[in-house]
Amino acid sequence: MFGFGTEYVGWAFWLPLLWAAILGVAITMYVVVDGFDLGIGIIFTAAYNDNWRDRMMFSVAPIWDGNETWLILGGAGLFCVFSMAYAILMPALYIPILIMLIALIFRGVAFEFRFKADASRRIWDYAFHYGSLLATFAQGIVLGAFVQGFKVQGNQFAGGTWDWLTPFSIATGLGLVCGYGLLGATWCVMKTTGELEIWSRQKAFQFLIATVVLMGIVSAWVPLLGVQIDRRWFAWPNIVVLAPVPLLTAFVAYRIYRTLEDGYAAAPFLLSIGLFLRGFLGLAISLFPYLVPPSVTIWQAANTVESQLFALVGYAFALPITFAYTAYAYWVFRGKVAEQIAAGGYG
Amino acid sequence: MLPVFFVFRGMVAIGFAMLGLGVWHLYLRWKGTLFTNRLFLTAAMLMTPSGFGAVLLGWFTAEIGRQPYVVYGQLRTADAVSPVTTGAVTISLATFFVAYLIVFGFGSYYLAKLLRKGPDPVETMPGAGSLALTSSRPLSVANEGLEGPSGTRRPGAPLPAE
Repeated sequence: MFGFGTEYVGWAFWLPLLWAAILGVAITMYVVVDGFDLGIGIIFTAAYNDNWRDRMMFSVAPIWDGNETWLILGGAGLFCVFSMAYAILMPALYIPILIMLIALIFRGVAFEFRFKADASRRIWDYAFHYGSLLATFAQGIVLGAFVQGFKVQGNQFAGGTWDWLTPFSIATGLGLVCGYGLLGATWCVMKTTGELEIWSRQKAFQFLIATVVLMGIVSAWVPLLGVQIDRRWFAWPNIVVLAPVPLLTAFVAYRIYRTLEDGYAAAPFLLSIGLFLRGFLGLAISLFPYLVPPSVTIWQAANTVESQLFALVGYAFALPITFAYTAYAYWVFRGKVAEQIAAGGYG
Repeated sequence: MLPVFFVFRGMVAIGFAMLGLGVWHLYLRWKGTLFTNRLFLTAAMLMTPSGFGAVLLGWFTAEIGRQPYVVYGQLRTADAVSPVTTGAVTISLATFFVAYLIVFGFGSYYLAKLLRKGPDPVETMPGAGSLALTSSRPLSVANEGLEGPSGTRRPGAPLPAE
């Protein structure tokens, strides 16, 4: 696997690798942490009453906006370090990213406005639900578009406005909705009590099945797309090294099912994160070293060594600080949400 | 360019007006009439949206002032345009316009309700301890719902554990 980029030497070889790793961490963190609070929104309107919805929202209210920091870290890193990829990807994904941003606006203000409204409260229930749903779906479409690849000529996107819209990208969009729904439901299992917790376990189980089915469909679909990914997975000897990856997925999915049944609180959520990390690893193996598949590698897209080092100084401070305050916020708001919200938040 | 001349001076004027309000406040505080001087209170109220205005004017200064460049003297706007169709840009602009209209519309509505309601006396606050009195989100007065009796719901952040 290491025939790539060897025409680059020294810093010019290692820095793009390091930056790809940093962006990988930022995107993974984003998918995991914003995944569960978007997932809360996905199952939000299915909850039986307002008390449940209050508790679900309280379980993420102190941390959700911090979670979105990772999206900014990822986007800014792409812009600073891989400007060329940024310039190709943004026009290619203009509409899905627009949808994502608008959806995130509505779901974000829903946190503020929902508690100010009585008569208009329903509006914000649905703004939160559909905002989360659409943002997730758009992210899933972006994921599918990545796997499909982008039409590039020279250093510019040469495809059409709607290239991203295919049956495959719709399948990945639905897949991500199910996946985030699973994260959200298992988060509720961990953070709530009583009937809401039991209901969350049922929801988690349903979303688990849907996630596994859609992961299977997408995985089976990829070789039919005619892209280069399947060559990496099915070529000898890679197939021996990579064969455990799908098996690991099946095992993790089974463990989520067992821990949901057996009444574990945190295990289903942590295992669901494991399922996502596994999916992300699979994607990274598939796409590396392309940043704009199938034509632009991380080395081709990278800015000058000076620019990369300059941005690295900033990230050397920003990343640890972000990790630290994220961890602190989760620590402060650990434990289950109280059943009677009016009586005082966390018990 | 003429617009840049005016928006820049508008921004600076607002900045000095803010400074002036601050100095005036210090003077009244020293005199002990800060909370009773109606002229000052009216001026403070009128200055409420000034920060918003200054930011907007500042952006106009930067964005209009640097034309026809996006990177001054280096890269012209015409050369920096992404290969995005006019249709797509029209859609995004229209969508943002509508979205902001809705969000600011509702925001102003809730803000107006909040202002009309006025501050509650502290004694009517339910919940225990000083934490219940702390507002934790931008549009929130501490521990109260907007419509309906005060304290029916806890907005914003839950209390820390233990």
